[in-house]
Amino acid sequence: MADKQLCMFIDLNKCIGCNACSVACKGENDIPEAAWNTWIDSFDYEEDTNIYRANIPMQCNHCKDAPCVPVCPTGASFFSEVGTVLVDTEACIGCGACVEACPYKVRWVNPDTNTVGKCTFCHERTTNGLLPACVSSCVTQARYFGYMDDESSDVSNLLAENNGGDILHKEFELETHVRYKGLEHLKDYYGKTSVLRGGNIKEISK
Amino acid sequence: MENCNSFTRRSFVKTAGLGAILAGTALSATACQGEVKQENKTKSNKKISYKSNGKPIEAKINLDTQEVEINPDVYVRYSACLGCYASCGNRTKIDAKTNEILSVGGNPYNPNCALPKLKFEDSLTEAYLANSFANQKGNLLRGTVCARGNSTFNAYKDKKRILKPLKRAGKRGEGKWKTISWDQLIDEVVNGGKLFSDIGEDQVIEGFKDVYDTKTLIDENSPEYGPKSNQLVMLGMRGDGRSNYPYLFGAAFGSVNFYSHGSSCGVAASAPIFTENSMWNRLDVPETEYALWLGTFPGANGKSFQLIAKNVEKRLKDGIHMDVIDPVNVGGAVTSKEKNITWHPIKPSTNGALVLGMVRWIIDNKKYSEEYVTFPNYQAADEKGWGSYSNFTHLVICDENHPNNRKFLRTEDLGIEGVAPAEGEEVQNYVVLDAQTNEPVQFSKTKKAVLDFTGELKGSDGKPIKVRTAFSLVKESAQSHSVEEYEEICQCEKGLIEKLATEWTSHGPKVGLANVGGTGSANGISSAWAEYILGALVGNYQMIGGSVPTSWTYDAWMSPRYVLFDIPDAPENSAQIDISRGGLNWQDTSEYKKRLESGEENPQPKLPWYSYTRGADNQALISLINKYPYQGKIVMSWMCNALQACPGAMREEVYARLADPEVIPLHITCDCFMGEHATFSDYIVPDTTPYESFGVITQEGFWHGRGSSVRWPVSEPKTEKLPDGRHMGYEAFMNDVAKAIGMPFFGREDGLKSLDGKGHPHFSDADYYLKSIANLAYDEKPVDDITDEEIKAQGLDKLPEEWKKCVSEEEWPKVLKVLSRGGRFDETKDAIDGTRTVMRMEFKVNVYSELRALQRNSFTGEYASGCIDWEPELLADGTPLRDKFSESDYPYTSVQYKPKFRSISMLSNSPFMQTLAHSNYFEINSEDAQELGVKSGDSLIVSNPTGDKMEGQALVREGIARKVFAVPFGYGHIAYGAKGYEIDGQAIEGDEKISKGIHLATMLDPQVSKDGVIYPYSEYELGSPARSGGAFKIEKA
Repeated sequence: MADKQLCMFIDLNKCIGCNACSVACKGENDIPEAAWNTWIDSFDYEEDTNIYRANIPMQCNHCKDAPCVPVCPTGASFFSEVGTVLVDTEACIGCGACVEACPYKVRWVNPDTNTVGKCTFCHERTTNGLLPACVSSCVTQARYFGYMDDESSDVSNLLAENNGGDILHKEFELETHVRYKGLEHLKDYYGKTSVLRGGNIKEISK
Repeated sequence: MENCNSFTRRSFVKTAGLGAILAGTALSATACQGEVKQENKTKSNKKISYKSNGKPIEAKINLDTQEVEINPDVYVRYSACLGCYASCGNRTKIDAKTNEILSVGGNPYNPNCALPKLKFEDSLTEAYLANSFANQKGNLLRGTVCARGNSTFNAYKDKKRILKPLKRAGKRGEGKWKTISWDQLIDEVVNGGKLFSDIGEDQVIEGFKDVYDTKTLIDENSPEYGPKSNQLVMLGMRGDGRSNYPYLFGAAFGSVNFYSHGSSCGVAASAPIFTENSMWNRLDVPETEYALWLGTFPGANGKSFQLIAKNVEKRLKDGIHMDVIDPVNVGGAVTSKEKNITWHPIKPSTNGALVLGMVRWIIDNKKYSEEYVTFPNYQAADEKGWGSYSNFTHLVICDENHPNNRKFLRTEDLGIEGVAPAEGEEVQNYVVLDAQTNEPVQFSKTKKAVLDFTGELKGSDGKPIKVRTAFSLVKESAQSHSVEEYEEICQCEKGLIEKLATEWTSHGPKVGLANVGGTGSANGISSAWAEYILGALVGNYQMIGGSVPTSWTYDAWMSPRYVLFDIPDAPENSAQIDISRGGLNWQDTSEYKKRLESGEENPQPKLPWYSYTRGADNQALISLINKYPYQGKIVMSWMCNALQACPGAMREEVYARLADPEVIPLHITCDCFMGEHATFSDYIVPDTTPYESFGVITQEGFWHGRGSSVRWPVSEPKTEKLPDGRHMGYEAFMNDVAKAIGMPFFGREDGLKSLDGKGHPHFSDADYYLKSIANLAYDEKPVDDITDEEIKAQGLDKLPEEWKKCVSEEEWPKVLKVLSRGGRFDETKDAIDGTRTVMRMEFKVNVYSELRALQRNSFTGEYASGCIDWEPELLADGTPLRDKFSESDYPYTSVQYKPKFRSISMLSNSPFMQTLAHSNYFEINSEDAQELGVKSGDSLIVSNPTGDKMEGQALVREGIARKVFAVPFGYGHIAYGAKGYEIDGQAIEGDEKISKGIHLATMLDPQVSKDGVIYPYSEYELGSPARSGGAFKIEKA
């Protein structure tokens, strides 16, 4: 087990879909031009005759029993001491098994190095007390970060206030460490209207 | 949430991961041959030497002790962002050894970046902690920049950046360039001559030396054009903190033609304010009790988008209500019914009708503040604790037979006693009816005046004069339609007007609105004036929580150390108009009078004139290409893209004229990239980036606080270094040109003055801006000196030696203190004086404007309204748009809004932005899409009556009004790297990623665009671009 567990809490009521997080992540991490470790899906939905625009930030959920880890043939995918799921690029052979195994599809293969990349919760930053880039750049304080097992932390308070928070794709039955407020409310609307991922139309399978 | 996972489970060979799909170009996952051996690993929890792909971290923070250990290899320097023009702060992470920018974030000292923000006095250690989750500080105090701000450094890493001066080596616009030296550049643009004889062009071109003639008139027959020096036309000034330079250069050179982005940005919204020299006010989001957003979308755009977003979220959480009126739901804060913020769709270009409906309802139901509207002067209002007064009670002459018809009634018209002006002052002896006596008195002589009056008063000659109070004019105009009719015009939900008006009048003066985008149509003035008056009905100006003065700061320009915004020896300029045809009615021009005298009946101008507004950048461009009213001999473009900002101007006929040296003899552009203006230039001056330049920017709006952001070269400029140590850039260019022709102020050993009258050298940006930062540091209570520890943390001991010489030894540590925080800001609460703002001036709300009432249409001679009136979209000669182009032929109207993933005309060259949003779309309503048989992603062709065709993909939405298409601004470049060019024979390939997307093409105004005249559809009274509204057809491609 991890010694401590890092956790992110995202309040969807506060997210304005500005994508500062998506871009801050790109700026702070050297990842291939086309790869994104976090992004926002935005869509219109109607409720009580009014139209609202929902925004759902997404990224690696750093699952407790992440299915991407055991499928790795070399042990490159591993759980860190702070409860995050990381890839040791020295050991990675770029086979892509983990990319396939991740139900959230948040891993990618770097074509230049033939190794797998993903969100690390900004490992270097967060293990030295700094905020991850996405949280650091969240304009409306929709994203919170900290140790969930530290009872005084914002995230543990928010988890307590929100009954543990909502889990993306509960049906995957994974214990995720990115939790949401307001996700359950939106899930029935998702996919019924055109979704923009970042600023690009996302193909919908209705 | 099954739909969230749209990825079909395919072979992993084809699966590239979400990130790749987002980016559009799938990263190819390398095929893993054969069977993958899947070891069933248990949780390893192993500790290995994990290689992070992150940038070097700036510090280590101990979560238990909160001790900060700074990484000496990384400087964190706080400065100001220029990803757009909202003057947010930024935080730059710089490699101490290479001086390269590693990454960029927000500045926790800047109120646009953080809520709450750090105090100016807080140590840099606190700023490190603001980015940490130690003791949860970062979760609250973090400084942020938006997606654009985060992408700006990425855009400036563009390998195609221009670092040396270029001169065209082919026809203008052909894309052939050669590198030249700085000295050659200065010599040629100053001295002119046959500059392009080497490529077979024989025309003699006048240089700065020739055009710098402040005596000879441009045209003796039209003395109002002023001297020849006005034929220098400078395009490009912004809220960038650098724009003092073109402004002062224009003044020192003797040209009135320096243009900001005001018109293309939305002059209509500010026009009412400018008729009274009042301070520009904005909705006080942090304290408001009700906010009405009309075409500025909270949490999606506005200035600063970040400050608005943060405060809107906070106020909604506090439980207040907000309404958003917009044809498009741009998103932002309108995310959930729980938040009590509601979006109401409206037909584009009809905001004026909606607000007139509100005005009518408020007047009909007497819901206005009776006390406020009857104050005849500022003193009366001030005594009762109000922040402003209005001229609702002032009498207006409404008498065709009176020589002063349409003007305010003055004491001399009645022969009653006025007020004698103090020396050097001008007094307007307006008249009101005293509420107690019902007798006419000079407006400052009573504390309460009659509000609603229509009747006759005895004139000084004994004859009666028909007069009305401004209020009665407003009332009559508002009552020209019923509330139901206004709602019909707006195509909004029934009952909306009453709902909004009720809310607006339920919070005293603690209500406000934001309106710039909603005025960007051909009838923008209708909206702007009505919205201006809405505030006067509740008296919200200069009131906390209402509409507060923006741009309040410490003095950076005139004291306490240096005088930086005054050129005592600047030449006199006799010009009454500028090249954008602002300043006179057509009927008052010499050209009109001469043609009339020569027997011409009803002379018509080539292009419309505007009497009460000046400085329209889009109209300046239109004047230049039509060589009317006079020719621009030297055009200098910098920090602007007037071509792209004027939605009807990006067309072949315009390009052809810009490329023609007969039309514009000399065009110089200063830019970092081969932008649209650079493409049509003769010379290109390389410019510094926002990370390499100085700027002092007053915070603009949507809060009541005080302060300025400071931008400074956190990284050494990459443009070529001159022998004297300066880097090439706009400021160096202006100084060197000025020096060569002997202008005042610039390029002189004694160009700048300290308050003691002593002269100081002025050759560089550092000479100028470090002095303004010294002013900022010393104004009122001087700031503390910076500590040695903080100097070390930011590597300020490594700054160029020349900088120190720009200020005194005593000033330097205080200048560094301001640099280290990226500006100087007060605590927001210090700006509150009871219910009013500390900063306030004698503010009059001009519900009736004489200046406006005396503007005449150039083609029909009709007078403009002096107050509110509802007009549908009109062509330049007053013909209603829909009389010419019917809704059955052209059923759609446009909306152009500010993009999330581009910035004005910038950032198309940022790979971050390109992959996050490779294009914009035609956003259309789902019911319209059904009618058209279109789904998201289908190609559409949208055309206007001029025959311009735009092509792009549809994005089908619920959150948009019917019969509207919306396109965010900033896409569809023709240059900026989109098109290839050649430098010194080396080809530079064009990049189609930069040209992607739709640029809104508005039509040409058919009433003006004939006989070779090109006139894009514009606001009929002010000339600003008509982006929203118009007449369009949509077809499936």
